[in-house]
Amino acid sequence: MKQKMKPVYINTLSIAAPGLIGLEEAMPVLTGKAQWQTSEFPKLVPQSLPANERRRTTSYIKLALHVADKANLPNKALAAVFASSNGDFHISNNICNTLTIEPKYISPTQFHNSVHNAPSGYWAIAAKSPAASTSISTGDNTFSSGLLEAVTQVLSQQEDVLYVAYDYPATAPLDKFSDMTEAFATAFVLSLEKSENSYGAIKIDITNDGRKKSHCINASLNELQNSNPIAESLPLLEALCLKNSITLYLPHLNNSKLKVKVTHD
Amino acid sequence: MPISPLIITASSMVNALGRGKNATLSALQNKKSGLQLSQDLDFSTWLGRVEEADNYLLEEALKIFSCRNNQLAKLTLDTDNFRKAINHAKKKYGADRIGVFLGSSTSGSEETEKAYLKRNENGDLPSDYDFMHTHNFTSLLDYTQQSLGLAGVGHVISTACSSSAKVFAAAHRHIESGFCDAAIVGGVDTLTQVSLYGFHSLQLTSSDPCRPCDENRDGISIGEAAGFALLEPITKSRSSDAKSAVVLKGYGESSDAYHMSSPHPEGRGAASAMQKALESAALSATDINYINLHGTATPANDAAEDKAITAVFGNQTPCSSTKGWTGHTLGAAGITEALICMLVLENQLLPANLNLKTPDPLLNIHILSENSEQQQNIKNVISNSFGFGGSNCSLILGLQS
Repeated sequence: MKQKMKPVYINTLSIAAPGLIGLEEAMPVLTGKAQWQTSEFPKLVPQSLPANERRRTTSYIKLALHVADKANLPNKALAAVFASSNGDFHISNNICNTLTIEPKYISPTQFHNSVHNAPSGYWAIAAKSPAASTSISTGDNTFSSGLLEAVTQVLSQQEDVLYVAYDYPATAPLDKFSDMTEAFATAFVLSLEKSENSYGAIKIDITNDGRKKSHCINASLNELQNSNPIAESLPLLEALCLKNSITLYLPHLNNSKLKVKVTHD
Repeated sequence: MPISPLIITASSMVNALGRGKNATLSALQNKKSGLQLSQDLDFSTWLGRVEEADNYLLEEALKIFSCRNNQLAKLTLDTDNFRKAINHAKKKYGADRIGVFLGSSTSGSEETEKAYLKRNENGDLPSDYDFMHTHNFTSLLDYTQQSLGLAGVGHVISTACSSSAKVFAAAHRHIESGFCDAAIVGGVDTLTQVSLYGFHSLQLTSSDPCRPCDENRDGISIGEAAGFALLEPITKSRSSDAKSAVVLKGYGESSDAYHMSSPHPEGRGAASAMQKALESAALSATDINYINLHGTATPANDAAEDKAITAVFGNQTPCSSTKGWTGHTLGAAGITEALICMLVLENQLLPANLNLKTPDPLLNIHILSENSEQQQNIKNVISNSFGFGGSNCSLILGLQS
């Protein structure tokens, strides 16, 4: 950082992962009062999408919209950053399957769902948001890169930004080519202004000093942290829920770390 | 809010018009399209293909990233003295202070298509298939960073056809916020069965070379392309570094919030992106001397874009779509057309809207039917990129004033 960064507040928070559907269910685990146990991931029904649109979406898109909805209450037309490492494995599998059968045909819905920004597009329609929205990936470092993009938007454009990060595991035959085993998504609204119920403030920097990544305080979450690129957010989610003032190191590009200083004033 | 301009100090491009900026410029000057009739699809369509990418091998140490998309990336990095400029920038800023922001709609997803055709009797994909180093979007970023020896911030934006326009905005924000001192922006997109058959199923491909803004336009011609540009803050780039005096003056991003694969009929999101770009450049509509249209040649896109431009600029500003030359290069369209705009500024050449036979009488904008190389005094131009999911981005490039 060439200059002192202003703190960016995390004013809302949502999560969806096995055994952690919604902040209410997740809070005892994220604050160390309960152990994490895996459980079957439920079918999510994002309320913002009309039923006819919802039918056209996949589990991956619903996962993104579910956490986006919960973090953006009441609904505001915010600028948004969507981050996902892999895109929609389900759609990739379906489309590549159909391309092996002659005559080749891809359904129009499958095709428009195949773009990486499909969740962002559905969200903008549901939230009626004309604001800018981007969709990024940096593979296993996607959570920290998306957070960085969201923070740069807050800092340089001085506006609130909705950050939505999500990844959904593959089924056969693609599952053998990805380490991802669990679904995981989180979303929050970042702002230069502290809200009444703010979860805390962050300042971020990049460090190349060879540090190891931060682990969860609740050791039962370690398995989940390694099960999905977006679950690398867990140490940050713990710090926000525990109101811990702490410096965290999240996996970032080229073995660097995103240094996240969490404060609660 | 007005932004600080960034200077483009190096750039490279490869597309169906050939390898290097001079190939594109020469094709523009000679009105020579790069589109060719496809020979190996189940339907008739014209493509902007880069044959040189087929057998262009990656560095031995980076072979793990082998796929046609990264081969096109390497071909382009090896063009227009781009690597030399980056080596110079590395000495100036340090390898970890140059960001890399790249757009792609395809990445190396062609490898997945090929792997599905080679499944065994159990349905397993071949063991040498490697999703993470080819199909995953980070493949393009990781390959580019490692090929150039860079270790700074960056990401891949994939917002369909606006991807490699939005990278300029992301790069600007990362520099502005202090997370890097300079940035490479770019885009790489290659022809895939998914995009070819996908657009065909939406009935959005033409069986003729695409005819943007024509009364009889009936769809796109798909192309592939790559381009890179080095952006530096003006205060830090000595004038001797500047191969051109073209700067990024503004950007505007918006969402249609209307439909997943059709533009808002009144061009609501498109107009908002252009208006925001003007505000960030602190320019008014009359300061813009040329508009490079998104101009895909689908009936809906060109009509909506016409309404949006008319609302923001009126009907006097010269406009053209250059997709009749390159085809619609999807995730690489933003960078390709931004670099065409750079050529427009450097050469004071306004390119025609190729393949225009009968201008659509329902369009109000001023469409250039011929190249214009007279004394132009072109100072500022805007480039439009709009994508599926209603993702819009407009860039303003201009001569350094």
